[in-house]
Amino acid sequence: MADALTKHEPGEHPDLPAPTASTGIIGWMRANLFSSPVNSLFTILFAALLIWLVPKLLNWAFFDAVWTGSSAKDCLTSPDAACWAFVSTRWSQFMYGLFPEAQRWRPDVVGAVLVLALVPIMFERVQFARLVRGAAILLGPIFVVLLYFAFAGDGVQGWPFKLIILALAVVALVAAQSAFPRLQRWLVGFLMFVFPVIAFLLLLGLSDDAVQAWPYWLMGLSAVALAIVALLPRHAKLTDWNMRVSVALVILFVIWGLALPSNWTVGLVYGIGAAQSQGPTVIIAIAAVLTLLPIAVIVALLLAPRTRSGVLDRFVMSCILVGVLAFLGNMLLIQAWDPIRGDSPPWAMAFAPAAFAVAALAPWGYDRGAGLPGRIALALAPLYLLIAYWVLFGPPDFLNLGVLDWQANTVPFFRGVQGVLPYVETPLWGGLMLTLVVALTGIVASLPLGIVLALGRRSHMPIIRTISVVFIEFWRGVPLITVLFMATVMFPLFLPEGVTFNQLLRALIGVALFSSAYMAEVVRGGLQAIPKGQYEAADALGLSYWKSMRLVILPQALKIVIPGIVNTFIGLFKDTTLVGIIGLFDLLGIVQAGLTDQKWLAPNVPYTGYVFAAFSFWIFCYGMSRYSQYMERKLDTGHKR
Amino acid sequence: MATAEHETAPPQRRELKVSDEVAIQLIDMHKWYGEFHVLKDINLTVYRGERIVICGPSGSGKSTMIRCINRLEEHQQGQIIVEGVELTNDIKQIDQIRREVGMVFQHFNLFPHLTVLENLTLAPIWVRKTPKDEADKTAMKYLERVKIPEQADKFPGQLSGGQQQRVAIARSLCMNPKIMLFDEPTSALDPEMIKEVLDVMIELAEEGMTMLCVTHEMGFARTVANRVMFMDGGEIIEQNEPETFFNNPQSERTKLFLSQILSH
Repeated sequence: MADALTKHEPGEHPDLPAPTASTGIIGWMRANLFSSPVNSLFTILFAALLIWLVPKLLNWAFFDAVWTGSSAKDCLTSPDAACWAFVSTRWSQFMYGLFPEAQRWRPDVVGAVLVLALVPIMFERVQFARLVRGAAILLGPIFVVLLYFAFAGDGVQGWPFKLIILALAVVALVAAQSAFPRLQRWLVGFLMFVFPVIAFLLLLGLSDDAVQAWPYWLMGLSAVALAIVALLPRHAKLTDWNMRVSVALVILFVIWGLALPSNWTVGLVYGIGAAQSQGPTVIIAIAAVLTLLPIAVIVALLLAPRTRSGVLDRFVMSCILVGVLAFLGNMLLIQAWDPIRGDSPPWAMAFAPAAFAVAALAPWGYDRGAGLPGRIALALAPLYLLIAYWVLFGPPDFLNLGVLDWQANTVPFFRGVQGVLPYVETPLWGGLMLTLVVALTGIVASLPLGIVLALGRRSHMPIIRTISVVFIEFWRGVPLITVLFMATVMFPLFLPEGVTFNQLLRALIGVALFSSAYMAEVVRGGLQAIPKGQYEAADALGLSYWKSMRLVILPQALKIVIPGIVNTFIGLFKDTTLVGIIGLFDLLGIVQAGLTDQKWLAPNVPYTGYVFAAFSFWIFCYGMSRYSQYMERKLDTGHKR
Repeated sequence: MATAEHETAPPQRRELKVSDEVAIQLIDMHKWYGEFHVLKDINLTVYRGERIVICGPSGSGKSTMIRCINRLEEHQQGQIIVEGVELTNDIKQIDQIRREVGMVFQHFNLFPHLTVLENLTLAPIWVRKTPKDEADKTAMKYLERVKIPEQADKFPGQLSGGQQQRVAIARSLCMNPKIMLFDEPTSALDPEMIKEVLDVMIELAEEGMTMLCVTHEMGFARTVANRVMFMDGGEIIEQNEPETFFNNPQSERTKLFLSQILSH
């Protein structure tokens, strides 16, 4: 230092020594590993530790490990290393628990659909959307053909294929709908509203009770159709309208298809399905294509960018197109009718699809902002169908179940579904599948519930605030084990005699409520971090409470608390192991159960099992953690000051 | 440009039309914060097309008063009537008024998670139900008016203070308000950015917008306002035409205040 202070005339200062290398490996090591004597010492110590530890670990996990075998005897060949044979022989059990082997495709399909729908949501859309667009254009026609063959397939064996195709169809449809910025929104909607139903149905299957309850299914489906109509936002875009109208009408159409006497059921599916067994193949194939084409046209119209022509033009054009195609398709079907049924075809039925098309398309005439009139028109769509039916077939006698034999058509249908999806009771569920079911349900339920609770706790309305506070403090104050125990032991005491409540469902509800209380406090932290000015600006612009929360406050608040949210998710994921307490076998539980097997009594088997379980959990938790960091980066809009 | 014209030919305000239609009316309005009487018996009638500048020492209730007009603050007594609608606890009436009244804040309060364009189109799309294309078009029109169309796709955090405030003004304008409230719009800005914001406000005044502006920019008050109002201790002490107000203030408190802010 003294030297640096010595005075020099300007320009006379001798050159300073060159700075030590700060680039390259050497530079990096010097800066990070050997920057000081203490640092160097620790570097050497840790290096020694690693040199000692890593080979041991590698030997244990890989080089000395037992990879194949069928019992403890094989494991004992190398008792100081992992016995992966234990894991590999029990792999499917670890994954599915006691889920019947023949039915394991069902969780697979659920998982596949989940992944398919989740991936586009999770990652940047630009590249992916292009990919999807390309795939949709190229694979679209193939898909239509596949769909036909799926339905042409025979008996039970064909059904899994059909269901897979259908599940893919939903995803492909939704994906193709946009090649478009709305892909993510649709998929979110799908995951929130459709996927749970699919997952529930696929995993659980149809019990006899469920088949007996067929009227409720029909009612439920109708309710869904009506709900879709009712939930239409007033400012919905044209594409939204079309999409929802079509979905609603397809549902109603299926119900109608079920309800109509079978020899009149010429619907897209039924007609082809009936025809394929006996009709001349070529005619039926053409008929099928022509019948399916209207669907393709509808889809195409949904996909079409806004045309320059007016809405009305589009409406008329699509009516004509769909009507003509459906008419042609069904004329051909009628040609094939006689050999199939023996009885003469009702000629008028050729007009039914046209009437259907008109009914389906009528609401398209309404542009966005149609508001109430549009909704009414939409709600009346089933009525249009009815009237069309009336005109063509004479007055329907609803009260006479002999003519409109719901039961005769419906029960066999559900029996058919049951044949494909036999009931798998939840005690048979287990392994990773159960862990994921519990964790995902908890995650999916706890976030919205937590948000609502957090908002409730900050509400100005005393009752809502009190309820939220009591709820949060109660669930936060109780250990999860207690919750699960209470759900199992105490809860049934409060139920009337004979009423039972599924064990897994109770656990799911317990876990969801428990984690939502934590989530609420995390979210509240985020809400409190938002400056008052944001609320005021939203108010001043005239946004309603819910809109300002949804559009202005929550996006910012949730972004801030991503680390906290993911923390809760990860905690929840690991807490799922506690369901073992109430006799459910999650991944850890099933591994532990496997350890008690006499066949696998070897000293290294428990280590292997636990390491496997730990590693499986780690993969998921680490995945979530990485994803949260990715999200934080992605959502960073550089507004930090 | 409008500013240049203004520098050469200053007060044209008498030519700016003030109609005799009432835009805002405050009648015997009181407000308390707990025990503290913030606003005392405020009576004010604002006619359409008026440009009113409100000044006064801090804590005098001037911000509170204009915040009452769009219900960011609740008044406890008296009446507030905006565009013929009385402010009550009825959410519908509040929403109706908020749709007609734009507000610009001292700290801009742009939504940091949305781009500039999204900031501008948010309310038109969700409150007015304007289709997105149309809202985008309107937004770009106003961005051009505040002279930053090139920033449309940036986030507010990437803009300077003056730019942010201009975006905030544009955001309010996108809702087509009949009345604009400015709550110290230039107080948080660096001096060299104040001008660009004032220019926008002057232009707005020339178009006949009804404006209530809490500000200490006395130059702005002189050139643009048709009425200047002095508040202190929760009361309107004095209001008058700018010339009279500045050259011949009536009350002692006004004189003191003016001498303090004009002396440096």
